[in-house]
Amino acid sequence: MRRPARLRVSAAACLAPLLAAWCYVYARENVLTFLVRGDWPAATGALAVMLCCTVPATATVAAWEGGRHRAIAATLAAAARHPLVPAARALVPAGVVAAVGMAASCAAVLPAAAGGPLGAPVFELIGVYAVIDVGYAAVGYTLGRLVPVAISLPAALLGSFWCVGFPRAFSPMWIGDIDGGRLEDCCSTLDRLPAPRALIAPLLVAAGMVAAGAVVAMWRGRRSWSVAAATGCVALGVVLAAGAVRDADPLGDAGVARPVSAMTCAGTRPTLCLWPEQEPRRQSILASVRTASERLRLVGVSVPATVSVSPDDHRPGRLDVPLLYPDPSRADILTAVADAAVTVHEPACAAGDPHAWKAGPVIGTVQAWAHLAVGVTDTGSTWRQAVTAARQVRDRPLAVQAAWYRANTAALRGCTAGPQPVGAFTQASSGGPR
Amino acid sequence: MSIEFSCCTFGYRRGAPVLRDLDLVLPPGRSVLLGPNGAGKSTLLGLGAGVLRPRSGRVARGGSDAWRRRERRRFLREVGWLPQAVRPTPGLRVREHVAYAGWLKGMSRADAWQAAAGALARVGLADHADRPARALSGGQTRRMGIAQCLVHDAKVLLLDEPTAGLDPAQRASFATTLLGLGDEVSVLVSTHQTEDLSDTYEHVFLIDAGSLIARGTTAEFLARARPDALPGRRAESAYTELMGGRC
Repeated sequence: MRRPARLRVSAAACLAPLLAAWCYVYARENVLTFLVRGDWPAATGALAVMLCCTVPATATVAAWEGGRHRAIAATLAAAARHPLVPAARALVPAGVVAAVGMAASCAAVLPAAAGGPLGAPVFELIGVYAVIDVGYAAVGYTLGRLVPVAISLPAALLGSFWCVGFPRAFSPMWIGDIDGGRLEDCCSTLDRLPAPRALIAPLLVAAGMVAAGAVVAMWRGRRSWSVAAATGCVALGVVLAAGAVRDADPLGDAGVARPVSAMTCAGTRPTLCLWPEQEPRRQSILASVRTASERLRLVGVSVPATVSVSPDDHRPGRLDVPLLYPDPSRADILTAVADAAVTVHEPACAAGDPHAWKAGPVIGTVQAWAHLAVGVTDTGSTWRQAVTAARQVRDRPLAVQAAWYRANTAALRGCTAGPQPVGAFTQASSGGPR
Repeated sequence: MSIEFSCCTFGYRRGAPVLRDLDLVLPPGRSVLLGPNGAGKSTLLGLGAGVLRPRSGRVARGGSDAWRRRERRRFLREVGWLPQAVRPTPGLRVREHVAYAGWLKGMSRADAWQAAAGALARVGLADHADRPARALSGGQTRRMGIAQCLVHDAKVLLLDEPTAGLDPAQRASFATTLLGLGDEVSVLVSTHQTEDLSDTYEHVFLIDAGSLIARGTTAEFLARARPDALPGRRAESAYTELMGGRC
C-alpha cells in the first residue's frame, strides 16, 4: 500500500491537525500560565496534563483502525505474516496522532523552560508519556477489533479520558500514580526530580495494556478466551504497578529529592550553594543573601559560613535556605534566609505533647521579627499579634533585640521556660543603637 | 503437493462436531465441493485455509502443518482463501485492497503492488483498480476477493462460493480464469451451481452432515446421473441421486 492510501483512509489525517491546534492552545492557556520559567523538569512534568488530550485521541484513532481490521477479520486470520505485524502497522496512525499532540504541547510549554540557559527536557518523562499513549492505543485497537465501531469509538474516547483524567484525584493517592496522571506534580521545584516508582508504575500498566492488545491480535479463533486472557494481562499489569507503588511509598508524591551533589558552591561570606539553573543569577542571589546575613548578625542571629538553597542539604555547617525557583526575588531571598536562620525545631521533650513546649507560641513572633530585621516590610504573616509584637521588639535597641532573641531561642530548645517578653531586657541594654 | 486433511474433526465452540473424522487429499487441478446448506463446506475450506483449528486430526500441505508454529507461515503463504463474505476495508481502493492482501501473505509492498495489477487484470477488474472498493457491486466485490487469492501466487486456492452473485458472463470469465491457472495450482471451489461442472472441474467432492459421501472425477460423478437426465442437467441429476437417500 502506498503512503497516500494510509493518509487518505486513516482518521489520523483529520484528527492530527485538530489535535495539534487544540493541544497548543490548551497547553498555553492551562499549563504554561502556571510554569516557572527556566525549570525544565517542571515544564516536562507539567506536560502530564496533556495526556488528557493525547490519550483519548490516540485511543479513538486506534479503535477506528481496529474497526477496519474487524471488517477484514477473515483476511487477517489467513495472513501469513505474524498477527502482530498488521496490528502494529495499523497503530502507526495512532502513534502519529500521539506524537503530533505531544509535539504541539511541547512546542507550547517547553520554550518557557528554555528561558533558562541550562538543561533539557526530561526525556524519561516524555518516554513515559509515549508509552502511556501506546498502551491506550493498544486498548483502543482491541476494542475496535472486538466490538462494532459504533461502540468502540465512544468507549475508547470516553473511557480513556476518564482513565487519565480522574484517578489522579482518587484516594488512596497511588491510584493516581499508576496511570501517570500525577507526574505533573513530580518536579515543580528545582529540588525535585521524578520518582522512579512514579515512572515505573504507569509503564507497567501500559505494558499490561499492550500485552492485552497483543493477545487479542494473536489469538485466532476463541474470542472469549482471548478477551479473558487480555483482561488477565491488564489486571496483572495494574496489580504489579500498584504493588510497586505501594511498596515504595504509600503516601509519597511523584517526585524525589534532587541530589545535593548537583549544586555548585562558590563565593565567600557566605559560600553559596546553588542549583545549576540558578547559576546565571549567582551574583544577585549572593548579594541578597549577604544583605540578609549582615542584618541578622546585627541583631544577634548568626548565619553559618555556607548557605545552601536545598531544603534537604543537611550537611553540617550549612544553613538550608529553600530557594526553589530559578529566579527568586530579593524579597523571597531575604525572607527565606530570615526564616531559615531563626528556625528552631520542636525539642524531643515536646514530642507527642505540643502543650509541653511552653515557648512554642513565640515562634511566630521570632519569625516576624527576623523578617523585619532583614528589611522585609511585608512579613507575610497572618498572625497579626505576632507582627505587632515583633514591631515592638524591633523598636528596641539592637542589643536588647539580640538578648531577647537569645533568650527565646534558648527557651524554644527546651520545655521548661516559656516565651521571654522583650520588656524583661529593657533595663540591661537601653541606649544602644536601633 | 496439495492440502491433506487427516482424520479432521471440527466443531464450533462446545457444539456438536460440524466435520467428523474427515480424510481428504485435494488433488492437483480444479475440484468442486458440493453439498447442501449446513453440510460443512465453508468449515472445510476454513480448515484448509488455516483459519479454523481442528479439534482433532491434522491439516497439512507438503509436510507443513497448518497449526505447527514453525510450519504455519509457509502453509499460509501457499494457500489462498476466499471466504463466503468478502468485506472491503473501508477507504481502500481496489488495487490497494488486493495489494494489502498480498502484503498480508508475506509479499513486499512493492511486489504486492505490482502483483495486484496483474491479479485484477485476471479477474477483469483492471479498469476498476482505482475505484473505492466499497463502490464495487456485489459481483465485482467477489471478483476482487478472487484477485486477493491470486495476488500472491498461491499453490492452493480455496474459494467459497466464488460465483455467487456473478452474472453468466462473469461466471464464464471466472471459469476461464480457473482454467488459466493450469495444473500446478490445486483449486477447491465450494458452490451450489452445477450447470457447468464438466467444463471447469476435474474432481468432485460431495459432503453432507460433516462427512464426505462421494469423491471422484467429474466423469465418475456425472455417471451417477439418471439416464433420462437432460444433457444440461446431468450434474444436478447426479447430485440429486447421490443426496437422494439422505434428505
